[in-house]
Amino acid sequence: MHGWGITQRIEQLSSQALQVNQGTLYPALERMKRKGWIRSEWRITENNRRARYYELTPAGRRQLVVERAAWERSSGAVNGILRWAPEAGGAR
Amino acid sequence: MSFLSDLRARLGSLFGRARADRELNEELRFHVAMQAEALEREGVPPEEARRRALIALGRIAQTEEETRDARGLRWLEDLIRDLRHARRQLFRTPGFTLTGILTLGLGIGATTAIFSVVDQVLLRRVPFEDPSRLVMVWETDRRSGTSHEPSAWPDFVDFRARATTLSGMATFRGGVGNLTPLEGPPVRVAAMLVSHEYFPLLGVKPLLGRVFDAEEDQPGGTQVVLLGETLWRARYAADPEVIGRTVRINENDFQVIGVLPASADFGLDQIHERADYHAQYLAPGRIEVWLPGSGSQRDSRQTHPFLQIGRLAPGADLAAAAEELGRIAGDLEAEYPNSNTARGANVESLDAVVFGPVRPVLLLLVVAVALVLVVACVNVANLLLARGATRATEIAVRSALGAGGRRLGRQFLVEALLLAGLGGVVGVGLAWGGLRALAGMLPADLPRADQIGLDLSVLGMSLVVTLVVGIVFGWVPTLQARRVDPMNAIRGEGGSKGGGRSRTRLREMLVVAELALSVALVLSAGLLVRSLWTVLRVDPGFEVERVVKAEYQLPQSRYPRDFSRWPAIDEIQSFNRQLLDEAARIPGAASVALAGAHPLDRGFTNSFVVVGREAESENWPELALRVVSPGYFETMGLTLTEGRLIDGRDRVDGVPVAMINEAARRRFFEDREPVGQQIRFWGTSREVIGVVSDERFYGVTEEAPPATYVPLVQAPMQGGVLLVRMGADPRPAGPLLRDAIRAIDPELAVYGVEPLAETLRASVAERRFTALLIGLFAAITVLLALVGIHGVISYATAQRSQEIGLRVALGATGGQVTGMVMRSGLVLAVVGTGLGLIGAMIGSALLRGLLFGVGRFDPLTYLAVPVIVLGATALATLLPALRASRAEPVEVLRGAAGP
Repeated sequence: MHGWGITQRIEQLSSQALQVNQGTLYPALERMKRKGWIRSEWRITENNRRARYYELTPAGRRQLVVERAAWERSSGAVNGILRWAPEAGGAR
Repeated sequence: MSFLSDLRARLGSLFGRARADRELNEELRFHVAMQAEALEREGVPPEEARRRALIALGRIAQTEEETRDARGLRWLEDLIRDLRHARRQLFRTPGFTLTGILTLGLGIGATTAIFSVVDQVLLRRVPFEDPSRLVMVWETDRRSGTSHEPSAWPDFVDFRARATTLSGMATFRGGVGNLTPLEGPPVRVAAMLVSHEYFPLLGVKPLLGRVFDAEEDQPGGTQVVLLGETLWRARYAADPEVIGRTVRINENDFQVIGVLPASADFGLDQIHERADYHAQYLAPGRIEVWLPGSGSQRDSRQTHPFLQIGRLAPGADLAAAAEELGRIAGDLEAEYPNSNTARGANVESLDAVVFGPVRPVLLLLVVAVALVLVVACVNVANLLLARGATRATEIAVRSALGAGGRRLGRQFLVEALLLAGLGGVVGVGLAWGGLRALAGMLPADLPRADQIGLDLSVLGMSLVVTLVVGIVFGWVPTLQARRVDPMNAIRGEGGSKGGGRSRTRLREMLVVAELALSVALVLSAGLLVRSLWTVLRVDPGFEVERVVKAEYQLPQSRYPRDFSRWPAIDEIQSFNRQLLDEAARIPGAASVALAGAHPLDRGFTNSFVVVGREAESENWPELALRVVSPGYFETMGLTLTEGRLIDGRDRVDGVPVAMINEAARRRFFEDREPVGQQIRFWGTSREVIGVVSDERFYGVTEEAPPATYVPLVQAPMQGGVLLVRMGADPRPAGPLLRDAIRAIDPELAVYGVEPLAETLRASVAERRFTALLIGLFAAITVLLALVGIHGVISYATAQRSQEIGLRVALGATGGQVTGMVMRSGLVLAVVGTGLGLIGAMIGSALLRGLLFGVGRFDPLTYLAVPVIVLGATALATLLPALRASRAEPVEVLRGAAGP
């Protein structure tokens, strides 16, 4: 997937809730590449344009598992707190 | 893994930086195009779509910049920028830069040169197996007071058989061979005669072939020889086929059985130097032929030519070996009272024998060179401090613009490293040149002196020194920068206020330290130079200036040592007569003589008795034996103090006679009349016919030993020296002496052809070397210290220019201003010199043993050095002082008012 595709996919999946700042995206991709989590190559798009495509490396997949677990832990923790808060109006 | 890919990405971006940028650019353009297309699909007109896409992306340049940072290139780009900046800075102040580079170059160069000497001499591996377990076993003689005598063969056999603290013992002794090459005259080569245990004991393996076996080490064994590597390469073109060939040595044929590595003769020079006496040995030099110790001089306990080396048995130490061998010597004393009375054993580690004498000199040089480096560093630190002040504004601007402390620190580090690196390059160049200059001056007894040079380990050391120096200097301005207040500095007050005072104090302390170190070094140098001077002025007792010598050795094959005919050995007698006649015809020859040894050759000694005082003579030291032709005394300029000289009346078959020197008269004939007494040695009683003035045979720094002179005709010698006193400059006469000897016997190897003055100079080479080097180092440090003090005073004066301007405006004269400035310099000089004197008093302990005729606390030196240093400091401060006194008050005041 190329950089622009990534921004589109994120916006789609988050129902436009998350807008990726491109100024953040490309440095982030570069850093991940340096860490060996993703690799990139130049390919031709269906519209015959040259674009840089990114994909996860095995190390990247492993890192994804780690990051996802970390995210679930912290978001779970935040959710727990929010659910408990009385003014949230939800279940006690 | 991630480290590797990280590295790959970083390196990739380092080498493919342009490409990476291009690709990023393309990627971002693709992004914009896609965004614009998406907007167009939503119905936005193309122009507007592109504009919005661009806005959404933000400035391409900025994204590029941030992405590049993420690529990890930042540090490299910063480094390149730092290097460029440092280069600009250094170029902007060429005076500072040049001074810094030269100063560091001197420090690093001197350190490198001396380190390469120390490295080669002391730090390299001794080329023997487990060398720390090797010991020298000497015999001692309580009667003559000697402690380093070679052994007698039967004694060696007993030591070897009885000692349990030694796992093995071997003997060796020097020899000289005349090697007859395939063509040309014979050459004189250094030989070593070793017992068959020698090489296995030391763990020396031959390059080719094998070493001696026990058979070959027996009297009458096969005539075999091992060649030294140097000879093998030079004369046999490193031909492996040399094994089995025959070489002619001393006009006898020897079969080559092997070749030994050049390192096999390690330490032999030093061992021979240490021995109280030894068989003839060509020192210093490479041993070129090795022969089995077979045969002669093995039957008597009275003859002591064999040097003994042993290896400590597992579990035994030096003390145990010394104790046991002493006990064995005691047993031998009881068993063989005729020969072994008063004899003991002395065991020393090989290390102490070989390195003992040079360690103090090298240690001194290391200390001195470290001082040079420290002073050089202090000086550059001082320069940097002074410059830091002038750069305060720059630092302030940069930190105001957001340069972090680390960023600034790195900038200074890069600058310092660049400076140190350039200094290092200069230093290595200086060391290279210096070592070539040193090569001819190195004292001969320095182990492995011939191998000293710049190599990788030495260069590595210089690199480390350079880096350390650079890092230290990187700190100095960083520390300073922390104190700079951007506000004040930018207003133009940074240099003169706020922190200026403490910085000046620091610089003053550095200058005092510099001066103290250099004064200590100058004092040491002064003491050494005074010693050298004293040595050179010692009267050796004989004529040095106009005498030239040539040495030769008569081969036994044609000049037999036939003791049944002795002393009437016609071959030698006739050779001597003819040579004296031939030499007398040399143009310009004022006087000629033959002798067994020249006056700077230790020659040999023998025990003796005065007839009628035998009991008393038992405990006397040995007498130096000098065999001379009648012309000797005139040639050497000796004075007859009593009786008559040896002359033509003393014949082969005449009454055996001898002369003694004043030292012998003082020692053995205090209040008696020596002339007419009989002294006996070599089994002959000789009548004392006269007393002659002393000659310092043992080198100019040693008192003349008691000696006796015997007529050459009554004691013909195998080896000899032709001495000719010239009417004028003796130098051109050398070849004539060689020709004279060759005219009598063209087959002889002639060597040591040189004026005696040269021999004398060589004998004080080590002293000259030490004095010269320490003197050079001292001169460098003083120069650096003067530069330092000049800098500090100039700087302080510049800072006080406002105050000085005011004083002048208020009526101070130029003289008063000069005096004021110089006083501040002299305070530093006096403190530094005082500390240096104290340091020298403590440090001169290192000089013990290197001084001659001068005490450690020689008052003249301790007085002269401070006077000279203070005088030089006064000159160094005079310049800034004069400059200050000429200042125009109006200009100074206006200038100080600032922009």
